[in-house]
Amino acid sequence: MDKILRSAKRARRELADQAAEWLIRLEAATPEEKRAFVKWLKGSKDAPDEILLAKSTDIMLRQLLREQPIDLDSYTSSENNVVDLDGSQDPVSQDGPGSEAAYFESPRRGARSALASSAKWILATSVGLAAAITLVIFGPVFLRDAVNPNLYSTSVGEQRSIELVDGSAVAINAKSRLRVSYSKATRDIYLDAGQALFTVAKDAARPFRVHVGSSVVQAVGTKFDVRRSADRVSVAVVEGTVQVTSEVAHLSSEAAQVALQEAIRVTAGESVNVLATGITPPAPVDVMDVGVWQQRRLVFRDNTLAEITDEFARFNRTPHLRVEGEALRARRLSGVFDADAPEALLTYLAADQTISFKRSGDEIVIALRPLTVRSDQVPQ
Amino acid sequence: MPDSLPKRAWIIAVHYQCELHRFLVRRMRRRVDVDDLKQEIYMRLLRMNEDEVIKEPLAFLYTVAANAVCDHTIAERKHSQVMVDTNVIEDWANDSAAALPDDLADRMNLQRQLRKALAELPQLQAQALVLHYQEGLYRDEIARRLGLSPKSVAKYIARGKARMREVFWEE
Repeated sequence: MDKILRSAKRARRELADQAAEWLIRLEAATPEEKRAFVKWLKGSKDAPDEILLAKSTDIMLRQLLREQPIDLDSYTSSENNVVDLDGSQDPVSQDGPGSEAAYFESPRRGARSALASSAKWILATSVGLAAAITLVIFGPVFLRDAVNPNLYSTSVGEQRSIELVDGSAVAINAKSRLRVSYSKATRDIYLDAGQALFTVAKDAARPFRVHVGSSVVQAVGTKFDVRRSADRVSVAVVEGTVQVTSEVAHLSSEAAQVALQEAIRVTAGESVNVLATGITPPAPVDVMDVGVWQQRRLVFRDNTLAEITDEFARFNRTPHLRVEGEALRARRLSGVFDADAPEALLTYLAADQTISFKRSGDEIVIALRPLTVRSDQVPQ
Repeated sequence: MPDSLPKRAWIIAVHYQCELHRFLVRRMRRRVDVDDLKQEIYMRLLRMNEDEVIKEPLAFLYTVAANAVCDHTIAERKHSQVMVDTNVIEDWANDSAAALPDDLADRMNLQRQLRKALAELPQLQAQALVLHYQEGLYRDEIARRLGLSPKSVAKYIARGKARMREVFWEE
């Protein structure tokens, strides 16, 4: 049984190697080669799958290395001139002799010295990386505020992700600002503007709290999204439970500035809005939609056109979309859009004959067409 | 460039690839059962007109696979979504946010795996791989820099990639 599994695995690896080679050969293939490729492709149902995996591997390698580049300076001068950080240390062979042996069973580049120098080269890069990993996670440029090292901000269209010292991760949406304040007893984050998705490392002794104005979202180990807009704070929970607390101004005693505290527990698959008037009851949310902004996709579920255009403005300085008229601003739509392509929204809206578009400079004004078509003749 | 038919077809093909890749990335982390789908892709491929496939085999495969994935996910999902995506998908392959898993923890995990695997590769292989994927260099330039023949560079890249395929998809 084990033997069968092993040989199946070996066959699969062979196919994988062939797939990787085919992808390279096909960049400039003769008709004969293409024919041979198709023959190979049809030779096994794993073959097409391996091509797909090889292609995806290709894409991911490129993106991973661009997101977090490896420092090439440490070795590009000459292939033999390896930066020798400390000859006594060889973290690779200490750390994983098993994996090393597994991978070098076929003596390709073979020589031991090549291995050793490879380890040193990686040591050189990984020292830098170890430092980098705790601070920058993704994004080729590290833009932590130089004056206030705990302040992170993003501009229009820019997104970034950071890993905090406790292992929690924060993905920050465009046009957002947050501050991190960690102490022995607490982990406090202040979301001053915008939106962020938090993946909280478990640490029961140190609560993780996101402060948004007078509201606090508290978690122990969970994943949730917080968004600050002009009139509300929206919290959506992907995993675990959070407690949302908000200070609601006590209307009857404005002079004494008494604040009422309102608190509510929100669990996975739920979202709440904190409004000036209080916290809305938890409503179901599709967890697949939460954080989809990280893919620069905008998902709208019955949102108003005004909300939708505001969201596009988070990602695009131009064109600026302006919706005229309360009726149209309040019109509700659902859809999935590419955040960087506000044109798609226009294309979508253009299907509706009652809507007109006017471009003036960088601004596109969306308005209801005067008269002509009756609204009962068109959908919605 | 006007939106000619071939161009449109190409855009659609790129779009398919992008959806397909997203699916594969999801599959990687969620351990989606894909045996049926694999079978389906294979069967569809066998049914295609051989002469057509041979002209642009990869484009064909991606399109067939993306269609199968699309049918598969729609069958899985009860509600259909309005999808409006656009021409800018041409830049898609350069958009890391689309190409990598959306979950930050998954991405960090992939970064770690990548670095560990690079450390375990022979130095020249790792260098060739980094020069190719990070610096965007092609075989001949990499060969010149590393003092290798373009043929060995191609071989190293293929091997390195095969290793990464194991790391990403098998662990």
